[in-house]
Amino acid sequence: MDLGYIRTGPEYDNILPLWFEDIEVEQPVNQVDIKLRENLKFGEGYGELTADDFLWCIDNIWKADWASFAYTNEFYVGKEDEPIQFEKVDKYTIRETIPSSRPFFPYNEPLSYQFPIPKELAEPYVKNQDAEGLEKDESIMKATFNGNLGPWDLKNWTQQSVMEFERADEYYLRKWAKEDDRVPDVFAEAPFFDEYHFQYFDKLQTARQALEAGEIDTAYVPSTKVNSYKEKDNLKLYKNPYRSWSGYLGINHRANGWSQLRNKKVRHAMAHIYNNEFIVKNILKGRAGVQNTLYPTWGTYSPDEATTFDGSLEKARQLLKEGTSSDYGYSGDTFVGPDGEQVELKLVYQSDELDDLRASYLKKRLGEVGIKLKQQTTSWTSLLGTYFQASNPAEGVSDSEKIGFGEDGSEKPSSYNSGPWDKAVSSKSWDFMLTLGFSYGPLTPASTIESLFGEKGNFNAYGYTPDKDLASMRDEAQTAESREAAAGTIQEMLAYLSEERPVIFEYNPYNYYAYRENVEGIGQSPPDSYWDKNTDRWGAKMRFSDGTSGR
Amino acid sequence: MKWYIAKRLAFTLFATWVALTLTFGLISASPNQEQMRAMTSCAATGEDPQECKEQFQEKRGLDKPITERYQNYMINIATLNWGWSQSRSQYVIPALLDAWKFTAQYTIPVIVISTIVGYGLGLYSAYQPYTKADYGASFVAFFGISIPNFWFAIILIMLLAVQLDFLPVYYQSGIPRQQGWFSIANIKQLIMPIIVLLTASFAFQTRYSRAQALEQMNQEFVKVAKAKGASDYRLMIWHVLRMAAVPLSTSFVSRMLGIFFGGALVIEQIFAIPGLGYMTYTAIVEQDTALVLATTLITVFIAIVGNLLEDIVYVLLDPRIDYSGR
Repeated sequence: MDLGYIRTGPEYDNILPLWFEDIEVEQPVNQVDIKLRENLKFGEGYGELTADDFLWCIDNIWKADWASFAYTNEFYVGKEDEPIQFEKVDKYTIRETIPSSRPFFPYNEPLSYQFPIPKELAEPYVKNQDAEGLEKDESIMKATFNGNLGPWDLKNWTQQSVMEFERADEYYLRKWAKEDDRVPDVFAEAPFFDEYHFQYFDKLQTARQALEAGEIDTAYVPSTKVNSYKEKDNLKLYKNPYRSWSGYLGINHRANGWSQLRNKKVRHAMAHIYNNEFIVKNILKGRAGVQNTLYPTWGTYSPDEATTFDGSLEKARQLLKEGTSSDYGYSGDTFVGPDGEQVELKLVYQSDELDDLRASYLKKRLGEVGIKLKQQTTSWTSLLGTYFQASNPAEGVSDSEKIGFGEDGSEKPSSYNSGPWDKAVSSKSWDFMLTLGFSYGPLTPASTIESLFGEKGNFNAYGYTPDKDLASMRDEAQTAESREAAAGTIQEMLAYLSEERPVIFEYNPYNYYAYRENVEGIGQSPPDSYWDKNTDRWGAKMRFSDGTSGR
Repeated sequence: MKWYIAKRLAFTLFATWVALTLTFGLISASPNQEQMRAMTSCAATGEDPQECKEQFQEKRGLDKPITERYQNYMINIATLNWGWSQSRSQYVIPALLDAWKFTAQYTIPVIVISTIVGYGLGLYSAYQPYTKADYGASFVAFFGISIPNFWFAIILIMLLAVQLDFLPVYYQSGIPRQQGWFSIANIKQLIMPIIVLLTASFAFQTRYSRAQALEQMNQEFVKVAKAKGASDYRLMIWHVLRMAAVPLSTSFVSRMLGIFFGGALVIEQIFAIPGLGYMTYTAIVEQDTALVLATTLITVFIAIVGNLLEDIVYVLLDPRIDYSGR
């Protein structure tokens, strides 16, 4: 099934209308009128898709408590979570009244990525408040009511193997390609194949070999394998630099990490030691962009001036001397602590080709400034549960119920940040962490910044305590009168992070895809931009990533 | 004998219950990955993770006391209400019914071929030890034991599928549906998985049967049979193989389970076969509790019933063994 629209470029208004023929946004953004196309039809006799279907689903499923719909919060905005009001203007038009200005509309428009379920089909589940039944209904799961709403109908599905789709002859966009100038002519006969198969591979290597043997048409290629794919006769390799993922060296600011890392000068020393330009150039072989803040340089909100570090070990040694407390210092070439012993730090990560190299580089560079590094490899689950989750009381904090924020210690944003750095810690100690990366939310980075580095952010497992009130800045950006005002605030937040270095920012990876040479219509570099392959849903979210798909 | 079988069947039920209880205990005690994912997702979207945890537990019935959950679990197992598989978006019973065919279509040929050829070759090697044929068989056997399945599979894919374009790289699950399970196209795509799986199992059968046959050949009754003029064929098949088969039969089920867990799991991942091995692997990795329990139940059941069958075969092959007193 299609969506309301998809974005085709980084500018706000640059969208390809799909189900939604028109979106009228008032400035400042507090009222949006969405007009549906007139030839949208459900299959299986469920009739036309109109404004009523959307409104019924909002009230009965998407916002209903019993349904536990994953995106319910999208229907509420602002600091106080006020609901967006939806009403019917006419058969095809829905009006949204937004309680506070929301400068990022319409690209975080909640209706643009919801799939309405025909009322007759969902009604029995709604009546019985049967969320489980709704989730397991085969017609809903396989969207057999697709009708003309998407280019493909599901023909067969063998679990954990293949999904086979067949052409939907009545695809609604074919008509609009002829009548709506904004819809490219190529859609006039779309889709161009009788069948489309989506094959699952557990081993990426098998997928790549199937591609080489001509059995599939496209597969993802990790950046470490790019060289061997450049020269293949029958394949074309494409690069997408707009990957929404940020790689960095995590730093534990909490009580079970090295206390000196809470000093900015020491983190600056680390930024010299663990030099991001060297990593991108020599370890990632130039297949990534250098990042000096959470956000990539190509993004709309990238600050004009970010703080950079040139990788000088001399400066690093100086910063270490200045930044650490008086009981630390150099004994010859060795950096020693209060006990007179060489300082030893601990790095945790999930072993793989790239992270092993990153870890070796860190170890070598720390060694050059007289610090030892102990490497601890672990599984993805353990990395999250044992090291990233911060829900254990710190040493000396006896009552685990009181480790949260607030006077009574009851405020615990999430298990990844159950309280202040000196109270809540992970179950095992660590100083640095690789592997774990985050989507930086290219369209709404303010919420990502706050979640990761705000004192009470959901994902502030690092325990970083900023001087600035990032939560207020986020709210300010999200309810700004204009997009320009929002951009200014976000850039200020990013510039602040760049200078603070709560973690050592490294890179945003590129994605590589190989296509069979005879596949046509791919374009210069598919996908041409980040935007045409990512719906707004993902643009607006922050996600965990172990980074495997970005390497 | 009947009493013995009845007692063993009762033990089978008891052992299955113990295994199921242990599995339930282990799963209840381990962190729920799915719950963690739900909490993470809520935290990322600004919702209260704790509230999401409670909703999740309520939805999955995890908020109930453990005794009630255990009781429900055992009742559900007994009534074949094995639940919903989250990793496959499918009920567990249809999931098992879908998956077993994909595994059976290459494991059955592997079991049959490795048993017949492996025993045959082992016997032949024992009959003519330290000849070129024996060395050849030993080489094949040691090669099979030594090489890792995943490595051999990748080499075969590169050679037979990518370079020579003789066989398909991966298993297309649509082929049996469209062209039939016994179609040439389906058989072609099973050749590589069968070869890879055969190497290990065949090697084991050959070496073990050779050793057993060599031991039997030195027995008095073989010498007597030979002195009485028994032909080589009769000597090997009737006297040596029959006696060698007794110890061989006692490890048959464990070997087959070894093939399944050691081989099928890897094979199915590499060749993208949507069978029981891959399903079990995904279920464990994704902590798909319902599916993990079902696959555990089936494995335990096969192991226990298989052992019972082995014991019965043991008696049939060697009438000197008598269970009537037990």
